[in-house]
Amino acid sequence: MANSPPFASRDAALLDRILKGEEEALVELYSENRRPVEALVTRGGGRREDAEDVLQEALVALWENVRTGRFRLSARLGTYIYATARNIWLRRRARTQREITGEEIDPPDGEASPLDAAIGEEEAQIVREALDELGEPCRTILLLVYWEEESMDSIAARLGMANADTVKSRKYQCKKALAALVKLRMSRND
Amino acid sequence: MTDSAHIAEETLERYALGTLGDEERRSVDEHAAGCAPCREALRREALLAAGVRMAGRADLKRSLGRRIAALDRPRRAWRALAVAASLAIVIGGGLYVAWLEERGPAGAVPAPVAGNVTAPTGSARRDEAPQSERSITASAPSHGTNVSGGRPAVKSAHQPEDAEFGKPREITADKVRPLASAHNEESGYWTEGVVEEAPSNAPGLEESGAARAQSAGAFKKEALELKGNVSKDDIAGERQGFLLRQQPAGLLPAEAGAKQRQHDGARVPAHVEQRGATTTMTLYLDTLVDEGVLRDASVRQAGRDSVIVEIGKRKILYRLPGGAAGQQQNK
Repeated sequence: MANSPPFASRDAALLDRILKGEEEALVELYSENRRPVEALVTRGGGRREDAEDVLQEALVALWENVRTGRFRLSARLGTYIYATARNIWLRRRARTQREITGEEIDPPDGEASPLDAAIGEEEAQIVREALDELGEPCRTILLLVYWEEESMDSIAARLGMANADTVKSRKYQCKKALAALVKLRMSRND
Repeated sequence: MTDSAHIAEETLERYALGTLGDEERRSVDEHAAGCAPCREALRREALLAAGVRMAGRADLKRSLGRRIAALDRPRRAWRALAVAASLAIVIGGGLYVAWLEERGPAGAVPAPVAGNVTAPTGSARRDEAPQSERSITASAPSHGTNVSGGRPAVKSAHQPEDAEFGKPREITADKVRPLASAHNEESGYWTEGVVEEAPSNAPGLEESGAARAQSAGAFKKEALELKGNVSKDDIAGERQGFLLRQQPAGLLPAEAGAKQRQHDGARVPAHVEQRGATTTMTLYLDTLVDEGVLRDASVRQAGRDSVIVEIGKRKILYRLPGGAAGQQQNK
């Protein structure tokens, strides 16, 4: 990689740290990308707090995409983060405009995975609330499965459970309990 | 297999996670096209995954926000200091002008005023110095103590024996704590842990004499405060200290939702406070443990916002959304 531009190796190192679960890498990226995103948002009528929030969301999306293997580095990392933040900001603005004017505006492309996109945000929110209601240890187990995408063996080691089969069995119970809570919440909303 | 579908649970899960190979995915799609319960099962699984991932994103964002806030704290303190300095200059300047006007026309201003401005050295002259000069001196941005008020800087400017003087950059997180958010951080929060393992004959949980007395109702009012001995793979890591304390469950305040508790020993409420680099976690135990057991207790990270406290033979899983666990590395 002797001929690769200097930013490439640094970007690769940051991505590697994200892959290892080092949140500190996100803090570094936040500091580096703060100014351009702030300029973007304030130019568009947003406040500095909006810019901070948008950038944080962009970094969370980066984290998720890197850790789930969906991320492919085809440009500078800063460019990717800026583009993601821009999409998030435009989508937010479009939503606010719709709420204010009732006008239908096609939101820009988001970063959600196709599966997430197929699920309504409100429905996902119900699951999220039900997950909080479910409490521990189910919350942690399900987060380790669906968010961290950890293997059963790894979860067993992290949670001090006997083995992968114990985790599987607990996970099954947790999913059933969560599904029941979601059903209950949805029936209340109907 | 699930109850209602012909697709294995694990396959459903991998489908939702997007980790199936192309071939497997196509096969599932083809099957689901002619199987309504399977489509429903896939949708249920996708919904569950989407909701859990949404929670994961929120947890990460919260954790990132905390880190960024910690990063910004000194920067914001300096910004506040700059604003305070500007205000002091403006107010001080105004007072000085008012004072000059009060003293009459320029020709009537006695010489010492000019001397005060250019060379405020002698103590007698200093005592005579108008308030405005003090304010201007106080507003110098190098005096960090001026954040909380104008007086200390005046003092430091004229009292070099003050130990604080000469250390203008010592603006730490502690000094900007009067901010509302910092107050919230200090007050801590309540959480409830789930006991994962608690064998009935666990030697580590045998009641001490004192604990027995407390179980009998004679609760000691003071907290038994002991420094938790944190294991080598603990969450305290290199950056944070971790202090474990215990209190009898009988002293659990109402704000902690005492009445909602299950008194079966399966849940252990705790209060968590983050003070600077130290996380203090107070467990409210039905039966207090011996001093040695508490000393040997360990804390290690489970999930992003979760830790496992091992105390005696008990493993208690806690969610710490307000801090500590979220500040640690995942793997």
